[in-house]
This record gives sequence, structure tokens and C-alpha cells, in this order.
Amino acid sequence: MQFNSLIFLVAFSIFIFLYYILKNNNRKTLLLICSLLFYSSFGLTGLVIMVSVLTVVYISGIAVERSEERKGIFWISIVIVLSFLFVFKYYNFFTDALPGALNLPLLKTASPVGLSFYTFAGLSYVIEVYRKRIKAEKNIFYLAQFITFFPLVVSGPIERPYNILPQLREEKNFDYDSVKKGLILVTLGFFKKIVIADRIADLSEKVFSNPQEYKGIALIAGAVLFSIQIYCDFSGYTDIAIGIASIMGFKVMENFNLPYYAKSIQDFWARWHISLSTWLRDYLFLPIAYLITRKLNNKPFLGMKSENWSYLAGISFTMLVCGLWHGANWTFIVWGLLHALYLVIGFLTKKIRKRILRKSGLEKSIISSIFKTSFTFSLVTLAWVFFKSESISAGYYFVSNIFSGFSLLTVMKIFSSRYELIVVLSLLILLELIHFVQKKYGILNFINSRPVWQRWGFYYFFIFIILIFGRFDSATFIYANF
Amino acid sequence: MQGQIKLYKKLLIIIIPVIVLILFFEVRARGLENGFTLKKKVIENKISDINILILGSSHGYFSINPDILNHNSVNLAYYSQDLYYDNLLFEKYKNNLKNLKCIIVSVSYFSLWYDLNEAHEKWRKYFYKEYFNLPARSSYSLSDYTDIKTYSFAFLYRIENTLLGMINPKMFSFGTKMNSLGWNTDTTGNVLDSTEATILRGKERVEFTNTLVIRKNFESNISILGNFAKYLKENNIKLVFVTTPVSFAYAKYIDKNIYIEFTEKAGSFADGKDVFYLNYFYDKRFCMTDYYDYDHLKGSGANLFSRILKDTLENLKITDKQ
Repeated sequence: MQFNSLIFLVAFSIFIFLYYILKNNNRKTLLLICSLLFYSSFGLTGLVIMVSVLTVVYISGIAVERSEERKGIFWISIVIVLSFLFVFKYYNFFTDALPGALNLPLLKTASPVGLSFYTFAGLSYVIEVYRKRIKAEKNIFYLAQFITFFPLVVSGPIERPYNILPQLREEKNFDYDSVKKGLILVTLGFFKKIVIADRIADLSEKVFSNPQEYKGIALIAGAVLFSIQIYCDFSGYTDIAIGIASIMGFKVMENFNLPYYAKSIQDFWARWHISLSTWLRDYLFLPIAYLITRKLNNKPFLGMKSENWSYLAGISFTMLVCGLWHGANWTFIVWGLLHALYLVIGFLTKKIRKRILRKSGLEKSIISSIFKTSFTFSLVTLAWVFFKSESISAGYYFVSNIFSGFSLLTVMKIFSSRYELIVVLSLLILLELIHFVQKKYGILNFINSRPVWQRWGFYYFFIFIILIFGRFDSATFIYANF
Repeated sequence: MQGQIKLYKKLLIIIIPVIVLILFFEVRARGLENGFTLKKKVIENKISDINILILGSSHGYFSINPDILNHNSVNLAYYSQDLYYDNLLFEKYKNNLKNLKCIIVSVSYFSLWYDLNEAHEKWRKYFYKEYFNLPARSSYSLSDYTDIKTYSFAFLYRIENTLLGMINPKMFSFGTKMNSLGWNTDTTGNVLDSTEATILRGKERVEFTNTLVIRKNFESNISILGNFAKYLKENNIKLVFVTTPVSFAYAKYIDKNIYIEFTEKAGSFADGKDVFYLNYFYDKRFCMTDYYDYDHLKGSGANLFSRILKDTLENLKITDKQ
């Protein structure tokens, strides 16, 4: 059951009506039951795996808190939780890909929907208990609500236990503003997902499924279209998820902050899939960086400062894991390593670049700002090519043919008609207007500051745009596969 | 509670115009010409003159041009049409097909195991009900009731397309690219080449068609064919099963066991007198550019195939030379 399905909309309307009618405890029970029902709609095997992860996480939390051997138990817990991820997501890949594999039989169970998201949420809980930032949850009922929380279980954001668990214990009363905010976010999310992402998906798919038919600028257009598609798909999903949570009275962390306006790759990662990038930063990058600095005793190694070593090693490993997190495929590994390379080069050239900009007097100029944003977008788009391609060789073919022709007419091959081109361009201009408002005023502040007739004008405008240009028969969200 | 009432009131103010707009588009969508309305016109306008009726799935719809076959032929094959609907369509019109001499049924690699009701395009059954009053093969499932296409043509076409169709019917195409005898005239499919990547994607297409092979449907499909053949024989109408050509990128990846089982069974109906089976699956006279996609002929390729079929029918004396 996807958020963009009719059955979800009907079921959610009934759910939310009951949710606010019921008393507090019954409401929580309803939430848990509905979360389990929602997840079971993707298959019962997945539900069994999720309940198993929940059980392990619950026992681990209490054991880590109470035991005197907390470090040992902590690591055992981490290994057990990760083993779910390994077995159901990576086992087939490694069995198949590693040379001299042991001829082990392949697993026939498909990777459960959202496995990477809820295992990372579970890991976050165990780590925070170990770090004593939160207390272990004694009542499995609350922990179950956190792990199975239906707005987030399929594609995140990957929430932190210290943000959600206290909210689950609070008594939720109907809050008009929170519901209104949620509805606006859901509308915005649907606009991004079913109006833009699903429409552009047809176009980018045309190019990526048959790159031999396209050359030069048409390939570039295909790659740019995919960049827009994946952003609208995932941030649209996130808006819907956060909106649904807000309708239920929950405050969920932001996951996107205009990522394609980033001025560097580092900046990009502070804006793209924030819940994952901060997860990786807090639980992987920083521990590795500290460990290396400690091992080197803060002394230079091979002529380079220890903090440089810790950054380079930490970021390379973190981005490799980030790539693998997205899926068991070499293309994701290449994508992660490309980002690692960008970040390493960015780190090593930071001072030189600053010096050049200062001397040229362009440091704060609009030209430099536009150049940085465009260059960052180009690098991100280049990496998306591998992310999207079926294989590394397909990605390489795509990239190596980007400079093979510059006839604008070839771009028209992507669009089925001039009408399609005009509609896509118009919708992208509308998206940019939304981004402009988001950046300058914040969407909600902007809407709330308008007179009634304008506010209602916006509501009707976007609902009709979704109704008329939306693809209601479209596929799943891209990130639901991760 | 006051907050909730305020919200519900506002939601009503939003939802009512939306419902009105959807209803408006729904009414207009139902008035638009689609592939099924055209097929209905094709057969009903010529019913008493028809000598050859072509039934079957999209393979027959794409590959057999009635203009080339002559003999007052009409093509009633269509996208995803299974043997069950082939039979029902014939049952519906058989009493009015006064001059019918031959029926050509295109049977595909998967046909003997295929049931539209279990395929991803099962929404097509609503059109058979709406326009031909033909019942679905089995009762509706929960997924039928939760599928918006069950209720709405506007959402099936997409409201945008409905709007375009209202503004200019030429801009709306929902399976309507066919000539006056029901043959597909859409030639916009992907140009196939012989590169490794193109050939590899043939595998994906075969994998998709393999999902249409559902073993439990075999007996009922065979039974449909048996009854069909018997009725036609009793009424002195020739029956020709035709398997249309596929590209080598498709043929390369098919499941050989399914293919052998299929051809043996389809062939077993043939008696060389009243029932014939013509298999062009591996026909090498067609090149990649003759195909709309991996397993459908288009334009000149379909015309070439229709000429070949015409000659064969004449040689077998199924039809007279014209």
C-alpha cells in the first residue's frame, strides 16, 4: 500500500477520524495496529522480519542498560541487527559477486520494503541507549510504535529515538495548526511525486533504458531529468510522510533542504536525505574519525596531519557504506565512492580554492555563487548516472557519450511532443517558484501570511494541478526499494 | 472538538468542487472515442458482410492488416485480449455473422495459460463489460474494488488526456490508432537495433510475458478452444490459429519448454481440413526495423506478414484467390 494509492487515502481518512475520536491509550493501540497492518500490506514475510528486528532491538536495549558487560552486549546487538540487513539485502549480492564464492544457495526471499530504514532506526536506538543519551524502553509497546511507525517505516526519514519516543508517550490532542500544516505538506508532496517525478520518470527512463539511441546533450538532459525525478520522488515522499505525521500530531525531522542549491558536495550532504547523512555522521563517520585521531596520537603520519587522515578515511568508508545502504549493487558502490572522491578532493583543495576566490575578488559575488551551485549540481548529476544505470558499464557508456553531440534537436527525441516539453518546463518553473518561496519565506509562513482569498486560491490551484496533471496510476517510490 | 468541526467544514469546501470537477471529467471521458468503441463500430458496421474475422491478442491486432487479406476481413484482436474474450466476442456476434467463412485467431507463446483477469491490464475487463456487455471470467477480487480504474474512465485515461480529448480529439489517443478495419496504425514504437543492450532487453520482455503463463488456466483455455473449434466445424467455418513473428532478441530468451508445449498443443487442434495452425514465430523474413517492439510487428512489417498470410490461406484453399 503506497501513500499515492486510493486505498491508502481512504484507509488513512478512516484512521485519522478514529484516531481523534478515541481516548489516548486506545489511540496508541490503534496506531500500532494500523502500522502493522500498513506494513503487512507489503507482505507477511517482511512483517515477520520487522517484528524480529523489533524484538532484538528491545532485548538489546534493556541488556545494554542493565548488564555489566555492556560493551560486549552492545556489539553483539549491533551484529545481530546488522545480520538481518546482511541476510535479506546483501547476502545474494555477496554470494554472487565475490570471486571464489562458496557456491552457497541464493536466498529466494526478496528484500523487505523499508528494511534499511527501520534497521537503522533500531540501531540508532541501541546506540543511544549505549551512549546513555536515552533510557532503554521497558515497554515494548512504545518501542514497537517507534520502529513500526507507519508514516516513516517504508522510506523514512530515519528518526532518532530521542525525538519520537517522548512524543509517543505524550497525550495527543487535536491541533488545528498541526493538521493544517500536515495537509499542506501532503499536498506539496503529492505535487512533487505524482505531478513532477512520475511525469519525468517516463522521460528519464526513455534515455536510461536505451542510451544508445541518444547522444551528447540528449544524454545530459536525460541525466538532469533523473536528478529532478529522484529529488521530487524522494522529497515528495518525505513531505507526505512528515505531513501525515503532523496530521497525527507528531513532529518529524526534516529530510531535505533545497539540496540542488548546495554550493559544495559537503553542503549537498547537509541538505540531501538529512536523516541518513546525520545518522552516518553521528554513528559512523565521527567514531571512525575519533578512532583514527586517537590511534595516530594526534601526530602527523606520512607528512599529513592526523585530523586529515581521520577525515579522509572516515569519509571514504562512510560514503562506501552510504552507497551500499542504497542497495546491493556495484552501481550504488560506485555512486558512493564518487561522492567520497568529491568530498576528499573538496577537503584537500578547500584552502587553495578559498585563496583563489579571495585574490580574484569573486568570493562573495553572485557569479561565484552560481558557478558553485551549477558545478555541485553537475557533480551530483554525474554520480546519479551510475546510481540509475543498470550496470557500471552502462553508466560508463552513458558518461563517455555525453560529449558526443550537441544538437538541441536531439533533446526533442526525449519528449513525445512539443506539448509534453511545454508542460514539463512549466511544471519545473512552478517547482522553482515553490523553492524560491521556501527559501525566502518558508512555505507555511508564506501561506499563512496571505489574505484568505489568496490562501484558498493556492489550495485550489495545487489541488487542481495535481488532479489534472497527476499520474495516479504510477509506480512506487524509488526509495521504497531501499 | 471545535477545531475538528472547523477543519471538516473547510475540507468540505475543498472537496466538493473537486468532486464536481471529477464528475465533470468522468462524464466527458465516457463520451470520448477509445479503442473499444472503435472496435465495436468496426464489427457492427460490417457484420453481415464479414468473411474473415480476426481475433486474438495484440499480436493479431498489430500483425494482420485486413485490407491486405481482403475477403471482407475485420480485425477484432486487441491489446491483452485472451481466449476467453475471443470466444465471448464471437458468441456475441455469431448469429449476425451471416457470411463468415473463416476465423483467424492469433495465439501467442503464452496464450494457452493466459487469463486477462490475472494480468496487470485486467482493468480492460471493465471495457468489455461497458461496451460489449461481456462478463468477467471470475468474480471481482478485493484488488478490483480498490483499483480506481474500476470506477473511473477519467483516471484511467488520466484527467489531463481527457481534457486534451475534450479540447481536440486528435490529441487524445487511447488505443484509437487503428484503421477502419480494426488494424493497428501506431508505428511509434522503439526502433530496435542489434546492439547487445537492445538484445538483452528482449530478455526483460520475455520475462514479462512469462509472468502471463499461469498453469492453472491451461485446462479452461483448452476447453474454450475445443468448443470453439467444434462449433465452427459444425457450421462449416474454417479456423486458423496463427502465431505471429517475433524479433530474434525475443525468440532468443523464450522458455523453450513452454514454446514446445504451446506449439504441440496448438498444432494438435489442426486437422488440415477445418482447423489449421500456422506458426511464424521464428520467421526470418522479418528484420528488427519491422517491429514495433520485441514481439509486435508494425507498418510495413505487418503488411509483409499479412501478404504472406494471405498467400498461405489461398494456397491452403482456406480462402479463394481474389
